[in-house]
Amino acid sequence: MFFLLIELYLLGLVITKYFAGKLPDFFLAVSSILIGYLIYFLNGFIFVLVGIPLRSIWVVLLVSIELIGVLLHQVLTKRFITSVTRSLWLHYLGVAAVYFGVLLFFYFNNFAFGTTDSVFLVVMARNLIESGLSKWYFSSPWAMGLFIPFIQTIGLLFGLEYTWFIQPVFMAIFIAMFVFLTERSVRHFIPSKTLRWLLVGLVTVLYLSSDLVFIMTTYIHTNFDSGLFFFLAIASLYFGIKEDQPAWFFFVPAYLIGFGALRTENVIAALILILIYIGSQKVAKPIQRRMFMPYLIFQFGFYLRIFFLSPDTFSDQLSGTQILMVLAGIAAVMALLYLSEVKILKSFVLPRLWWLVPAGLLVVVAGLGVSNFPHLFNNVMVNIKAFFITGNWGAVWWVVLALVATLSFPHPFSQKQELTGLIVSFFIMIVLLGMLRHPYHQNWYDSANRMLTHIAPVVLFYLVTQTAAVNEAVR
Amino acid sequence: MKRKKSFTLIIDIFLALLMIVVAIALTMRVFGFYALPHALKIIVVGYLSLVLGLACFRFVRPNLLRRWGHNRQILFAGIVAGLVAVLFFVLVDYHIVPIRTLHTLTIQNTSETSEVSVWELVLPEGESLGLAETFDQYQYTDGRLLIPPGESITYSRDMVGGVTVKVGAMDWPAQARVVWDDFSYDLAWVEDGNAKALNLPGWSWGTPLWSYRILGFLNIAVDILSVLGLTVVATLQLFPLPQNEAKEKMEDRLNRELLFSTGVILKNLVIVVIAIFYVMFFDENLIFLMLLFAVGVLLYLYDLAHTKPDWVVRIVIVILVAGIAANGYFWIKPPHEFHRTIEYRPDNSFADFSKNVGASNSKYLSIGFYEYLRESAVVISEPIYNELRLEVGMFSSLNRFKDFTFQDYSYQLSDSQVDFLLSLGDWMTWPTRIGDGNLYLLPEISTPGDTYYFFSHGQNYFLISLDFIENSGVMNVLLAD
Repeated sequence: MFFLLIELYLLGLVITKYFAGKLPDFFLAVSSILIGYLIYFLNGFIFVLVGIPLRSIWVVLLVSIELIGVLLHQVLTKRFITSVTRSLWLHYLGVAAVYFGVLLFFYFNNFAFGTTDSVFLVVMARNLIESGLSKWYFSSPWAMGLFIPFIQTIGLLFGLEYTWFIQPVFMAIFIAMFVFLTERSVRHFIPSKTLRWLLVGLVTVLYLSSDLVFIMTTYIHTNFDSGLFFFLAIASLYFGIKEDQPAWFFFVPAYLIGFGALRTENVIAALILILIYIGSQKVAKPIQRRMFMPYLIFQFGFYLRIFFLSPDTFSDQLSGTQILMVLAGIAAVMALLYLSEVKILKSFVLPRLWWLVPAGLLVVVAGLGVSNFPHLFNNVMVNIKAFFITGNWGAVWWVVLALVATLSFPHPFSQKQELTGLIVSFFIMIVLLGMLRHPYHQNWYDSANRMLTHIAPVVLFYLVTQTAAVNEAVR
Repeated sequence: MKRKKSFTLIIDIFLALLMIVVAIALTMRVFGFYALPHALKIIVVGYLSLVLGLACFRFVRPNLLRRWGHNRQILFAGIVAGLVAVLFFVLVDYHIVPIRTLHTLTIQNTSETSEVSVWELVLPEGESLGLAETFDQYQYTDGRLLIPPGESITYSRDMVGGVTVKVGAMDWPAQARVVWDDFSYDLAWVEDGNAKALNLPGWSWGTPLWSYRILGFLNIAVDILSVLGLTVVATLQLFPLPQNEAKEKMEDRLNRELLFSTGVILKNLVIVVIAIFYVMFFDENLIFLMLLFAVGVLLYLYDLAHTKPDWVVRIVIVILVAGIAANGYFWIKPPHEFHRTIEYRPDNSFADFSKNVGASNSKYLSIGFYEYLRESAVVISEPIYNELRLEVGMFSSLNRFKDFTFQDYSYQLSDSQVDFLLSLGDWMTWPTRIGDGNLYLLPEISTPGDTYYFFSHGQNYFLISLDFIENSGVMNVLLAD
């Protein structure tokens, strides 16, 4: 199993090495871990799609072939040595040391936290190994995404009863990436290194010291990891535009694929993100298509495949109609990628998408609310209580509220409009999803409360960047 | 100049301390100081101090600073304040806010021949004391405690607030004496024995712990200081402003800074007034109050950030530190025992993990044998159902049972039966949640979707298919048709 994990890291490493010299070494080194896991997930998904049983031998073999293939390509194109600096190697080695250190520590010291959903995710992993996509027992892709079940198969394929030691790795990656990327975003606004790191450090400590987020260190579930992938996708997009460096854009679809595969409703947030950025017209059309299409194709294929499942499990939430609507939404966004050159769209609709999207969602919510106002009211009140009292967030959202009040400045920063539209849309989306299911409840483990972990890192990133922008404006 | 600076400093310190004292007095009198959690006590006092302090510095301080050199006015104000304070505490029926203390109630029947009855004793929380349980050695009529002539009952309890006692007489004339801490009340019945209700005050001193004793004295002190201080300030306002002092000479930097915050200071004063009215006349809803105060703080932050944009990073850092401190407080005093449930698991088994995630017993059992239970039929005896603490609805829903039946059958296996069964092959086991036993299922004799019967042997339970029961020749079990 550790051989597989090493292979996955090496595979991630050789892939990220393609961007050596264009992207920060630290980002590439940490991304290697996630790219490795993403490839593992994609390999496994392809296996079950074509009917190859998930077995350790096949999994290791495929990864080995992929690793050798990529290495060969780099050697033959003479990229293997020439593109790499000493700094990059040191970063790879350092990150590997920390990664495997965290992995081994938690492997030998099981601190796994779980709820019933966690158990169902493990059972899904067993179902994948036992019967691929054909048989589901308590939960299925009509309720939960497949990314975590595939991650769980890593331990199961090698004789363990579940995989308790990988979730802490995701937490470690989040801490590293959030600090790194947030500091990068405020770097040119705040010249003082001490002040920058103080600001970034404090906001990270605030987030991690919240009860709910702390528990996510070892909680086998999908939310925190969704927040991680969503944040990384947005950050990659953000820096790609801000620094005018297309190399960042490779990671956008990669992380969106992880995000989309984690939870069934994540596709909505991903489509919102894509729509808003299509509207921004800040990425050249060909690059935009190359960036978003891989994710859209994957997500379309994913939903198309699960449409033909008949899982009939206890926790199924999707219906055939809903899946068709999602497929239609994905297709529409794909079409928009090609139709964005149409004059009326380009001049009138696209520049306003950053507020049209949240407005549109609000109209839908209002429409659903008219027919069932008590349901809407209950959900909104429960969500508000979750933010501030019952959700075990501690002071996080109180601080966010205080920062929003303090930082309501017009001072712009790169993509402020797009991020604003995305954040507002996300909160409206939570209310919208609540109208399509049984009412939210006040416990910390309610899905609406857990979904806040998807957007919280983006919100904090936004607020810290705004703080820095104001600081720069008044200097 | 130096003396003017000293005067300014004295005024500043005086006003700051006065507003803190008034804030504490307000919190004690209006916002239920003793009922607030400790963190909220600090927040409420802090917020009120800030609001009142800023209001004072904005509107009162400039006026007071112009009194520099007019010592007679200050002296006169002091004397008036003293007189007003004395008059206030003489004329007004002043009492401290009820503190937690040991109150003692004694009801003594001082009649010669008549019996006195205690009808009801209502405690501070609004509930009636169970007289029969508390005074079980006395006689009762119609639920009323009877006190013979010359006898008394005594009730002592640590509480915050007063009680209401209803005392009547069984025949008349009758007299009784009610002693509540250091106060005594004489009751008399002449023409009838109807109950007289006596509201005994919560503010009586009782026998408090030293910590509450200090709080009681603090209550008195802040009340006195508030009256004194506010009277001094109010009296000084009455004197006309010195005409020969140019206004600009007395305007200092602080006054100029606060000018820009007039709007937000006034808004926060309105919030405080709303909060006081709300608590006094409507409800003591803490959440509403905290929301009100949060709005006030947000208004301040907005104002501060926009009047001093170069302070934004510092303000943000202070907000973040406050947030981290709050999170730290929740670690020490968690609203739920939440983060401490990340525990070390020496057992890496899935069963151990599943056992401890808070799933219901039906879910837990289903997880152990999901492959076989799916779309099966289950037959179970009531005793086993109750021992395993299952729920039919959940159990059936999880596994999509074809059928779930309660039956009366010989479900207990003998030792020889168990020995035989265990020798048949490798049984799947799943630990039970009750006791040290296991659940058993043998794949070799089971098929997904079968009909399964539950059997027990001590703390162990067996799921055995109907097919095997009927054909094994060893399961001499009487099953219903």
